[in-house]
Amino acid sequence: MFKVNRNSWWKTSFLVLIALSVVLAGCSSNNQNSQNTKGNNNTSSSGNAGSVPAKEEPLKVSIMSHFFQDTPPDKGGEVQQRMQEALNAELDIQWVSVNNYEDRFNVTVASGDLPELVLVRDPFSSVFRTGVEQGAFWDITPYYKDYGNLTQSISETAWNLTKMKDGKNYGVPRPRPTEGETFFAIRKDWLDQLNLELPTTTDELYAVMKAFVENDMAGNGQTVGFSGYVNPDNMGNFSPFISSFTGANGSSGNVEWKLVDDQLVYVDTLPETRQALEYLARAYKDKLLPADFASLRSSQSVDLYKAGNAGMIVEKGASISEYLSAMSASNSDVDYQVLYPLTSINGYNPRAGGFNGMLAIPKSVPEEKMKRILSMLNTWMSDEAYEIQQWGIEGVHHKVENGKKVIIEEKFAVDSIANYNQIVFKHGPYASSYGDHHPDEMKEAFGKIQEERTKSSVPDYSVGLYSETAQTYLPEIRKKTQDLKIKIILGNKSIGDWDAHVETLKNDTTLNKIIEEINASYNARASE
Amino acid sequence: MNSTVTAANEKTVIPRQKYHLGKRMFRDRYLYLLALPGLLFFLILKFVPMGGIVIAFQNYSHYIGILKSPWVGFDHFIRLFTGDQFWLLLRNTMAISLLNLFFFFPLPIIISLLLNELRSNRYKRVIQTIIYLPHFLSWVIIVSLTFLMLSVSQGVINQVIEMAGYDKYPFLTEPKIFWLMLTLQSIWKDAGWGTIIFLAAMASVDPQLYEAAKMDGAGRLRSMWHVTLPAIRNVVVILFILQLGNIMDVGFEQVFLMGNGAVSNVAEVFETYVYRMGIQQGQFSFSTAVGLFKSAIGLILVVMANYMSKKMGEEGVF
Amino acid sequence: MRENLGDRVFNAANITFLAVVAIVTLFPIYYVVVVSFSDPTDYLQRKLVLFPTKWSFASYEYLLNNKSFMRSIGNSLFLATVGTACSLMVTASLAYAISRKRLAGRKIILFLILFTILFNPGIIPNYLVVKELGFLNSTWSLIVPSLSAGWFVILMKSFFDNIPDALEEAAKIDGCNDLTVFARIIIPLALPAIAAFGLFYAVMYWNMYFNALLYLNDYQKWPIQLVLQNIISDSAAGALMEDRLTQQPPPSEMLKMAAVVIAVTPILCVYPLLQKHFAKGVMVGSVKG
Repeated sequence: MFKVNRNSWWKTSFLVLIALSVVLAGCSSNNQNSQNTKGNNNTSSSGNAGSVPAKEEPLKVSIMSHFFQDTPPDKGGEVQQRMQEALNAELDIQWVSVNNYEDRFNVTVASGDLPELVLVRDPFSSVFRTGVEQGAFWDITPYYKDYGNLTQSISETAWNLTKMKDGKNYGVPRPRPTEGETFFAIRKDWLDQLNLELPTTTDELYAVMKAFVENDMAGNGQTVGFSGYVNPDNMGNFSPFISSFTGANGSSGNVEWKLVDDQLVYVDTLPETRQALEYLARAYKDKLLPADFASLRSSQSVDLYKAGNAGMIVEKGASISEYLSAMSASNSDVDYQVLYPLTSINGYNPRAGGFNGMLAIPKSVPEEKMKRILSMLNTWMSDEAYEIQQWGIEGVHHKVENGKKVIIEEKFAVDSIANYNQIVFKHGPYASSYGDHHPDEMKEAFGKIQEERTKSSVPDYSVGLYSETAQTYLPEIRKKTQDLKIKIILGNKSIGDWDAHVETLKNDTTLNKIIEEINASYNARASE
Repeated sequence: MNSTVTAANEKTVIPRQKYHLGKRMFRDRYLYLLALPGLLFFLILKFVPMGGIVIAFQNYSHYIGILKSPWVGFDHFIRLFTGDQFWLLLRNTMAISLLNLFFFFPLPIIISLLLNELRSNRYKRVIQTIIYLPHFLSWVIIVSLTFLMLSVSQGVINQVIEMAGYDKYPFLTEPKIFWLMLTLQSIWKDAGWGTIIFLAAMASVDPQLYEAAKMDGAGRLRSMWHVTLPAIRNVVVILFILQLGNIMDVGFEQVFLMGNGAVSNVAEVFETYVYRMGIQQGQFSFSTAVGLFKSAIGLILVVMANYMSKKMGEEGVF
Repeated sequence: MRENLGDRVFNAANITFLAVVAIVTLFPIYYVVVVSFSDPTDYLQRKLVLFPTKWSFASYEYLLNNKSFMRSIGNSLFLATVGTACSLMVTASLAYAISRKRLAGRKIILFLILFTILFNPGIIPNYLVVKELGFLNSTWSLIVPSLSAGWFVILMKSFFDNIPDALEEAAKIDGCNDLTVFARIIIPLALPAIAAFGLFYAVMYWNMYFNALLYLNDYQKWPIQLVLQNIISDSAAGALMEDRLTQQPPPSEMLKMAAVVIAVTPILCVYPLLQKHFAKGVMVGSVKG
């Protein structure tokens, strides 16, 4: 009745295209073939956007990605038009709100109704793994090396870490810097006012938060030492506290495995986690944390910081602009001191895996098209094409001053150009600590912090490890544990309840099986 | 059940079939044409999904297809009943439903009794207009209003509490009062709207009855008790049955939207669990099994409640 | 009328109590409206604003200039108009057909419809059917599954039950068939009821949240309720914090309140109409099916 489905529409147009090509085959087949090979060579060797063969039909591709700002970029916007020209593609992007991307992704994969290029935020989630096992996605291992930019701009580590358990790549990793990962960032201006040093241990951290609150640095009685949020199944932004005690890193908020003598140990059963919980419970009782942190959403916890009510947050240096612009509304002489990254706490700071999720192509896409999509990504990563999303349009999103491009922040934000970074992103080694457009003084300070951090940063050893039991049962365990953690911090349950829970965990056959499988997977990878 | 349905919907005796069935159908072809879109709708969007419940007995995978997906019997149900989530889900669902039944259910009756006693019709209409309004607001709006009223950081109520010199109270993150919060929300949304049916029933009471009661020296309260209440008894019983039958349904949107990390232990009910396992985690077969369990219990409850009310001499719902 | 003291006390208490009920009902809406219109600095100083000292439209200006917010309002208006029209057509014609006692098979149809009220197979089977129909991530995924509902059909049917056969027969003698009878005679006759049901459907479509949450991926197709929910409490996944490469100041409390007010406004606008009709809408056929 109302068949307006994208797929069927696509199928129809595809059929029409095929029919047309059959009709025209007699006169143009040779010609076309030569063009195709030429196109492939071109894009794979240099990724030069300008050399896309003019006569090739633009590649129509549907993409599903998340977006961060309060509105996604406009489909008909001029930036997208220019990008499409450079990519010789027609992008039909489903922008999914970052808040429920995971849900949308899971149900989309489970139901098989996939667009042609999909952002996979967590390549090791059970849903994606199941999809891969069932043959839902293209194994791009034999193909991706043909595209120069995909191997140059994306580190080998990232390619290696995103391999699935069969050792193959089912997606193009989204490259991210390894150092300067999201960690505590503090109001150094407050520290200076109080003549305090940057904290380096959890105890110093506590003293600092306490000093902030006791001196009511916000000046309105609303000061909290730290602002953050938790997720239903993990500690979210509070994980760095626990990691500072345990020294274990994780990803996507789930910090679960610590490498001890070449064995991966389930972090929640460690005494350090218990210490961390007691620490947080004390902090909550002393009103160092927001009273309603358990119900705060990510943006709300950030709001508290932006409003100048919180002394510390979990953030990366490069994100400073949004805080500066929010805070300068009420106080014009704030500078980069308001979001000052800490080097390490108890000698711990996190190291990233060099990627953040990846882009996968469903098997429902024909091979030829899959190659064209890879080639499009390759072109997208070329300087010429990437420049469009990096700077926007001259005179609109950036201007040229003294031969240097300067972003016009407001317009750039309104058109939410930066969201294209969620699909394709290129970066230098310091991209997490600062951006090109930041003041030199800050670049120097934050750069030094990053260099210092590199010496002690801890990677997530569990990335990519696989346990079949974990797929079904770990989510339940996570949720139960997380519920208890929150209650202990809120003071509704005692630490004795935690000890009891840890005992149950230790004797839990399911969890022990998960631990066994994870370690087997780790050893298998180590022996490779 | 078939007979009860027909009995309720079919008061008049159908004239004997005068024509052959085929002829009758041809005669009424345009009527069928009118019914067709609706019938197709019910067939495709209501009955086909009923067939879809077979995946509760499979390990359904889209990539294999419903026909070839392996059969697992009652595995998913066993997982549900033996998992420790089950009792939690049952407890939360029951608690929310029963609180609603005890605190929410009587309120519309009381309010409509009071409205019925108002002398000024204009005042009555004004009050009615106001208290019906929240029924038409979505749960998203109501939960938004709740946040803006009650949250610790921004809620106006907590602002007042603080001004009065007390400590702010975490209304939204305190598990102890979570169920109560839901009940209060339901009351705010629907207690006023609920009066509409009782008021209509009261309007049909013969005014002479009140006069007679007055003559007998009955005061306001006594005539309420002896005249008004009996008049609405039937409606009360029917609504009570409906409520009992719906005991497994606590309303996804409200609970889902009110849930947060601090209260997740008391906020997980069957509906949210199905959503979490099915839509958020993509475990289609397992969550279909959970949903099927819930629906089956609901169906049994309604039929039983209906049967019981008939047994007690009241009219049934169907 | 003679009233004794007890009666007077009762009356006064009754009037006061109901006034309190009304105030409690109205206060949240009133408060949100007032704050959304008041001056941001007043609000930020945490004064308890019960009446704006200075009016300000800043939040509204922001929202009305916000593309995605306005787009979602457009989406919802489309739903509320096109969806309501489709739903009314499907529901009314089916209800009318099965209200005619001569229709063979109506008892079976009625039973089946009643059964859909009593038994819901759950969200996953529904989801899979919508998916197989190819409606996922399209606006039709919000309209088609809501075209009709058991209760609506049965309520409407009991309204049509009251239309005597004689009317129809007279028209048939004039050469009308069932279709033309329905279009020319029944619909005009049932207009008040159709208006009432139309309002209910419109409110349902405007308030639609869950189906949109299930079926729509693309943010640009979201209706107002989802966007509002996103504005009010924007929940986040853990991956988020690693990825804040982009920036834009998120909406303040006042923006949230203004968003709520805007989302409520259409309801408040049709509410007088609704109120006029809903006695009919609900009471047609009373509680009984």
